[in-house]
Amino acid sequence: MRTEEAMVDNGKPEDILSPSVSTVSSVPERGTVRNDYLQAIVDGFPLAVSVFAYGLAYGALAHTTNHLSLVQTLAMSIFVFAGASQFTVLALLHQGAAFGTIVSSALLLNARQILYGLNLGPYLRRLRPRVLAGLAHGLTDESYSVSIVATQKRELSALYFAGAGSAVFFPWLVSSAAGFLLGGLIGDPQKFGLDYAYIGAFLGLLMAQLKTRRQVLGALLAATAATLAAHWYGTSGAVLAGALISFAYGWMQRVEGVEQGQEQNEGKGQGSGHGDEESLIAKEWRNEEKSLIEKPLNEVQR
Amino acid sequence: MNGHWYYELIGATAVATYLTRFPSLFFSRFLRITPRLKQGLSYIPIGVFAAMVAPSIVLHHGSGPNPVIDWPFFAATGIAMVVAIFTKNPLWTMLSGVLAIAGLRLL
Repeated sequence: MRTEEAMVDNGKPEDILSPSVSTVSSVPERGTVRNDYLQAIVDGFPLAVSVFAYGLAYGALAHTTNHLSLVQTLAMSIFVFAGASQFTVLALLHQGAAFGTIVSSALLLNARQILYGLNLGPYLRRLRPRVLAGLAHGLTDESYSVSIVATQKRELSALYFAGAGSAVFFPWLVSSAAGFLLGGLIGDPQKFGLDYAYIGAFLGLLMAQLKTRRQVLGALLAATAATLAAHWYGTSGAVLAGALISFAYGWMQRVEGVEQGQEQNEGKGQGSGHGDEESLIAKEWRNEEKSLIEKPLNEVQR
Repeated sequence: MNGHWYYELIGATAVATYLTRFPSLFFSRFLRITPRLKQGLSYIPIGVFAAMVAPSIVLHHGSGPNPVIDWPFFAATGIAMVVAIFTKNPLWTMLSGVLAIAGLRLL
């Protein structure tokens, strides 16, 4: 992986020896390889907790209701790796649904991930297709959320995206197995308030995003659309509706300047030794924006 | 569970799921992103996060077919939002919500 090597070359040796994880809020030093991966895991921790709670429920259900073997239960968690659709597969299997029905349901249920890919892809355009093809398997609600928030503070590296995926993948795997083995012993996860974990984690992410009145309004619109859609089309319909409404709302607003976070990022990219390529892209992007914004102004002045 | 049939099913489901991941991640690099499109895209996370939260709070299904209002969920969300505003930290927000709801259910 080229990015990795470049980062190792430029990372100071003392940074590698003492990777500090304390750069959560400050503008992160894009120093060492390990930092990006670890940082993603730290950022993804709240979501990992909620994923773990869900995995327990999945494993227990697969064992007690569907009578799958442990290997069958884990195979689905490894290769499909998508919470909502795994639950749906279990439910449909239980009802004796046909092969095609189950596969197409999973496809529809995960359609929202197409939107995540479109949103994140431009930040990962420097990755080789082969690397991206491998990391793509880690794209989930949670890793998307952590990664897209990270793009506001830093350049999204392959390692950060890999870390975000790992922060979800391993808890999901371990908890699927734990849920299977403990089965009925756990009882009701609701008792411990664990069903609130994922709402709480996403609420935290949402609240941290809301800085302007426009953003609050966009969130309220999306929440309304999602709630209506969820009633008829379930979770995936809700996410698609919320995302599309907020996209349309954002698209209709007057274009504001470059966002603060990205400005910092671009400035940093130009200053640091590595990533000449990326600073060029940033410059190009900014120039393009300037020209696009200034053009109409010039026309008005004339 | 019939082994062969099951693994074929998992394989097909895995391929279908992967198709919602890789192609859009890859082909979006060829999009020309205008400032307007970029601003629209920047609002997507807000919409996704709101969509993850709102329906689960408002449309809480009890034992019946119709959604019911779950007051502990509402109260816990209020507490978590206050914590979110003051700490701006997703971890504290989640923990306060989970603790609040566990506490409210004990009452």
